[in-house]
Amino acid sequence: MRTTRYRIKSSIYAASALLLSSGFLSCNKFLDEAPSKTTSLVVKTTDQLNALLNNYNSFYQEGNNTAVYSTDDNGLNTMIYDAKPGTFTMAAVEFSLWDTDYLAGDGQESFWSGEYKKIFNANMVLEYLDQVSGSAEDKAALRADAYLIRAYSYWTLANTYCLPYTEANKDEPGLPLKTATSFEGDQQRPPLEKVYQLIEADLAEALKTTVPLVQGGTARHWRASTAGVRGFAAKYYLSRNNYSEALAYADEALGEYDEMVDYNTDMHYGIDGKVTINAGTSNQQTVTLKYPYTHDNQVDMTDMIQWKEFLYFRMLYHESWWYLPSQALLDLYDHDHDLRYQYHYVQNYSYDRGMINPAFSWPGYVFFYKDRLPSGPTVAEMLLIKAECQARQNNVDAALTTVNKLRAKRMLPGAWVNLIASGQADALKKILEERRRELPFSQRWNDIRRFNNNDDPNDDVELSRTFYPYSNSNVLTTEMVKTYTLPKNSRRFAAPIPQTEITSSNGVIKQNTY
Amino acid sequence: MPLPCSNIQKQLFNTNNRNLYNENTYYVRNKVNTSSTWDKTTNTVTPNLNKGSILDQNRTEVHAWNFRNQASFNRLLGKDHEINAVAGMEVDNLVTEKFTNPTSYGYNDKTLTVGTFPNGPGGAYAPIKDWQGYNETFSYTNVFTYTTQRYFSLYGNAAYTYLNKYTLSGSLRTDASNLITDDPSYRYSPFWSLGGSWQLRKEKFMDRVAWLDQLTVRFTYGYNGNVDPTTAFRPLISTAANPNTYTHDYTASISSYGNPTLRWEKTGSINFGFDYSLLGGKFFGKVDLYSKQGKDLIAQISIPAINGTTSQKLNNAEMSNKGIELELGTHIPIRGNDITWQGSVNFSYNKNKITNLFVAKYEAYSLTDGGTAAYVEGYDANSSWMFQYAGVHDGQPMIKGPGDNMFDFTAWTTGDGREFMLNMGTKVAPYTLGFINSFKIYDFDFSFILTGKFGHVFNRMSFNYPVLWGSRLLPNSKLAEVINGDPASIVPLPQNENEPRYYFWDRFYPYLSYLSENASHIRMQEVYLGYHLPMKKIKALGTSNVQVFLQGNDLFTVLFNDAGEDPEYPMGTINPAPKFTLGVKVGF
Repeated sequence: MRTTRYRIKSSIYAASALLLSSGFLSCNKFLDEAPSKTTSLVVKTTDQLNALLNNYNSFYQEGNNTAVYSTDDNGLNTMIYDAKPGTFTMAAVEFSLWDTDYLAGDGQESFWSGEYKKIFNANMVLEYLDQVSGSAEDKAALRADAYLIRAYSYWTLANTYCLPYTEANKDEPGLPLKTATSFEGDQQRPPLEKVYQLIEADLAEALKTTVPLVQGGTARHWRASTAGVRGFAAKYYLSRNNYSEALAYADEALGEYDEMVDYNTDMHYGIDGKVTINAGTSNQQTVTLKYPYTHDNQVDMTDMIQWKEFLYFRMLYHESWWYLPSQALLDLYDHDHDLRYQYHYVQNYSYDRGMINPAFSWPGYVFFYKDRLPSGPTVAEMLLIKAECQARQNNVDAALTTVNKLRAKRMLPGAWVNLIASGQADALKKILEERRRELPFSQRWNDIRRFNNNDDPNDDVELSRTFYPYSNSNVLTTEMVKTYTLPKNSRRFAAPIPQTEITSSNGVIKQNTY
Repeated sequence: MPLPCSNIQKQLFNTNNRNLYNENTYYVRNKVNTSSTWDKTTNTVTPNLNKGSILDQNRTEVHAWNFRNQASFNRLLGKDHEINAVAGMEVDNLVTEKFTNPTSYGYNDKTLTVGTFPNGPGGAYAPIKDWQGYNETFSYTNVFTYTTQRYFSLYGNAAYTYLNKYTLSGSLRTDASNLITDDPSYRYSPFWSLGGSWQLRKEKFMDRVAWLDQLTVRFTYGYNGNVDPTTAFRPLISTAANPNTYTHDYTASISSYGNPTLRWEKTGSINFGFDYSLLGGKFFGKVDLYSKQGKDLIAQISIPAINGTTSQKLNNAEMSNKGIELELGTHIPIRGNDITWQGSVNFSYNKNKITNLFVAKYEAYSLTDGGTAAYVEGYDANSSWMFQYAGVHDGQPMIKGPGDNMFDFTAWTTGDGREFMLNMGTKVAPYTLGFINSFKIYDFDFSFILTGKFGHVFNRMSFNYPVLWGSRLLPNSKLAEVINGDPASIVPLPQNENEPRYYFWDRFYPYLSYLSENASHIRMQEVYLGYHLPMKKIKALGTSNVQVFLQGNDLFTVLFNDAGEDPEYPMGTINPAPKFTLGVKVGF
């Protein structure tokens, strides 16, 4: 009796033990089920990586305040400031005056973090490429695409936060180089030379792409393509003052794709703006602002995606919505015949920015909505790079032919379309003016940096601005104005790095010295 | 004998939402009109939607099942040995599916016909414009979501008692879920505890203490873990269910930046206590002393943006919680069963401290924002860090900085916040009190419940220093104290005609030490007065028990701060108002 009872008992123990342990073992599989089919996914396929890079919203904007404010294209002066000081943030003033005291602590700077976010995305793709399923062709395209994103971001960061890359500057502080998604790894700023070595290595990988820009009749410029990568290569080598390489890549890009927007037929006005100025005074009136159609849509991306000239989709972004042109920039245009002036320079745009009582009139440079303008490689930019390189190589006639191709799409037809030049220097001067007319704000900072560091002393630019003194918190409008300058070899060609980076790295990331 | 017990449960929930907008509603007319293209030169209007009703539908399905197994074992071995054990497992599976239909335009509820997009749904390759000339697009695809939650638990407890007096117990438990990880073993949380108790009163030598009915001494040591399911070892992505409207590509974005150093939060706790009962059950209660030591706790740490993100949860904090909990109850018949008094008092005290955490530097805003980013070694985890107001200088309100420095409100402070900010105390009450009394006096019942929290601080409402760029200026009720106040002791209105960074002030004015107040308070939660109708006299009603009662809830709160603000219900929220209930309870 007794023994039987124990046997029953022990078999029940065994059964429950079996039940519990089998539950435990099969559990790993049970718990492997992903919590969601759409969120918090581990990357497993090339389709997922493609989806990551298809999301142009993660990549196309560059909130580069240095490009927006720190050049002679920016027209901020005391007269405009006095018209309505509240229009301008302290950061706007500080970037305009090449500040080195307060900018780092501004806390509003998102360009640095934004570009490193793009770099994280690129590193994520590169890290997962070997682990995911998908065709070799897909993987090759993704690899080139990710390298382009990384090269592009390091290049644009270097153009902003590092001194121009010259023989003398190659040991100056570069950028912390992240080539993996891990938070560990060296955060120190290596010598500038290392940054450029990485950019060139990444560019070489990106150039291996075989994906054409136009697929099925659509220019897929939000992804890397043979024309897009070559467009970036042309920009890169131009910034390095390597004219023969820049010319070769611009030519290759144009050989693949050279569709242009003809301002005579494709450009038109969009929805008017209506502003009442001097309300409550005898001068009260309603003013109509004429905007290009590209201004109409802020969120809807139709017009931006459809802009025919993009080789690779990147835009400069302005958080305060006013690309404020300087008088010098305005004077460069043929006001009667240049359609860029007609459409992109919106007269009385200052009213839209609130300078209405008392009214103060100044134009604004408007491209896409109020805040964005193309900064990635475009057909227009390729023509300008080509023309400039041809001129610098003393191929004057070819250079003029190239630049006039662009002008034909931008000017009313007439004798004024074709530039003529008395010689190489004159041709170069006119081509550089054309470049500034076509690409204000977006390329000017980079251009000044390279002009001041090439063999040609004629194109050098010294920047200066007369403005009020200022403190951390206020523009001191009651004090005497003074002249701020950015001399040719100023160390301020490297903008201050956000203070938060220095703090959160415990000082491993070092600030620029001035 | 082990007693196995199994239980399977399956559940299904369905939710259907249907929104039908009739053709004649403003919503439909407005939608159809404003979505039409209006060519202002020819003055022709082209509709982009059909007339008719607009129908939105979505459906949610939840499938859940649950499987439980438990076996218990209780056995006396001879007279002196007793074993009690329980072991079990539980598995849960919960799947939620959501189906959202695209909006049906031009729908007819009688004929069930639907409209089309006469000019297509818009987008980059066939754009359509609304009446004002802006591009528009219509969504025309279904949206699906599918989530799965799975849980698995395995547990066991065992206790051995000798001579009915000495007990040794232990428990083991693991809880796992389908969180994302490279290492499956990471999913299983470790919990275990060991304990012992001694029924002291049962010892012979205690027999002399006749007034003591019961005395049990307890001791446990335990260990448990916690995992943060919102972070993962690896970077993760989220995909959009619909293709991009403009490019028709599928898109995804990074949803988690990954954290290869992630591990379990671990807490070890020691608990010592005793239960007692005196004087034939007139007084009873318990006392517990505990100490909990947490390590590898997750704290939000700022990291350089070069990592793709500016903050990350890292397992590097250690925290201790030490405290005491007291409970005393009474049950005293004052006059037989006619007049009785039952009362109980709970009191607890907890001291929290971050015992180890290296953070090189604290930005002031991390400290004011609170949360795990404001953990500071040597301080309570819920410390209230405030700026010290220093008056107006050069037209700018200022706070005290390190040494003789001051900061104005127009930029982030520099340096380490700990050097110049004040720690006003903890935001979580270290002392809590609960007091319940009920009296029975013949046919009357009277009871009340009081609760109290003490020893912590809160920030009273500040003036809101509204900015001017909105359409309306809405100052709050604290305007008077700012206008009548001394600018040397309270932040005044802006002193300059133009204050370009006035919008930045909100990083400072809500965090000034003068706003910090004592958060202690006592609440009268409930008062109850009941009267039992004398049943003998109303037997005719056929009821056995009728009670008339008056009950009051949230009657009053005693505050200990000068501002007169309830610390748990900030101004602008709804305070608990006194509620009275008059009622009759009838039992048959």
